[in-house]
Amino acid sequence: MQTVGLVLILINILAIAGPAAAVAAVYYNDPVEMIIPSKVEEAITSAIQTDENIEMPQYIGSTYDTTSRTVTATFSFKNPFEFDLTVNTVSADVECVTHSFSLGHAQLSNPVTIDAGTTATITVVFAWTQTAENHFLAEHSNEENSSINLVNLGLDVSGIEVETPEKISLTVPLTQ
Amino acid sequence: MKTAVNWFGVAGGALVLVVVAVSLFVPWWQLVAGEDLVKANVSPVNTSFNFTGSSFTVPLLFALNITSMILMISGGIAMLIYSVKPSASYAGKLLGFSYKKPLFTVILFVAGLFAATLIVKSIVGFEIPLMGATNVLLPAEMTQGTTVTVPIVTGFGWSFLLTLVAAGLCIAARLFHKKVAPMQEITVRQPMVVTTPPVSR
Repeated sequence: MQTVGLVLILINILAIAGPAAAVAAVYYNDPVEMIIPSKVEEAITSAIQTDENIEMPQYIGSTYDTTSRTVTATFSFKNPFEFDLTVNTVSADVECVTHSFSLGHAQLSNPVTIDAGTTATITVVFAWTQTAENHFLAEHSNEENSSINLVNLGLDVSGIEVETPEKISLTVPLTQ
Repeated sequence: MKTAVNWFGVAGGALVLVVVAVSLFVPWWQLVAGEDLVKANVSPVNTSFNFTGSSFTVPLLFALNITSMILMISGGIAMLIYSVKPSASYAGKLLGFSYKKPLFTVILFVAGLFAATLIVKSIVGFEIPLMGATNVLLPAEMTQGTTVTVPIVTGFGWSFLLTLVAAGLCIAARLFHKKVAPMQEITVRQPMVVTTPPVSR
């Protein structure tokens, strides 16, 4: 009976002291490594600290459809990280640059997955309102192009929601 | 001779061993930030972290995991041995060694998680719930004027619930021991009863 008791005590001592002593022996020269392994730093460095910072989507061009009252704008979006990103949503309010007049709302047509280190094209659809059309007819009737701003820009990238005070300025052609 | 078996102990001991095996693959507690951008899989026998696809473990936690694994396996085996011979001379020692192990593991695990969330709150400034979902607003100095909200979902897995059941069974085995051990003593004493021969008149 005493032998059983001793064996059980020994198991307790070895189970508690053994692994801790082994890890301490392995990381004797660098105790910090026991808590923050270098692989963590490497993973963070490789994932986040890239030469290029994440940039706002760059405007490529746009098409418009007068029957559905929509402007389809395409942007290039670079993923500078070493992991894939999914752009789930992009939303913005659209306003006239000259008059700060609210023209409507723009949003991403479909979620886009961007592989690590690559650039993908994302499509944002802006549906203009009747009020916006009236504004163009009243204030910009003689213009061929009009400058608009995308403001209150919000993105959902791989579940992380980003809201930026930055504006994206576009020049879109106007039709009569 | 009828041998008494502590069935609560058999079930508890076996379940503890199952829990150890399951916990290697199914975390007791999980944290997911974003869409699997950051993931922490935590259990007393296996803890791993995943940061944007790169997996790593912390050596100190690995040592604690090995400790927990040895203690839980030895506790499960001790409980099983005790359960089939609850009236053996060494049964009390085995029971005392084994029945508290799952309960203590659960208590220390939850206390450790709670402490970890408090440490994170004091260092980084945002609160991580033990269970549920929250949106963490990253500090402005980290995001250069941009508002960045990271959704964080945490929760306990079914392996944790299984451990609670195992802990309950082991405690039940301890309580049932009082009934099993005296019964065994009576069973052992039965052959000692001396019957008197019939008296002829």
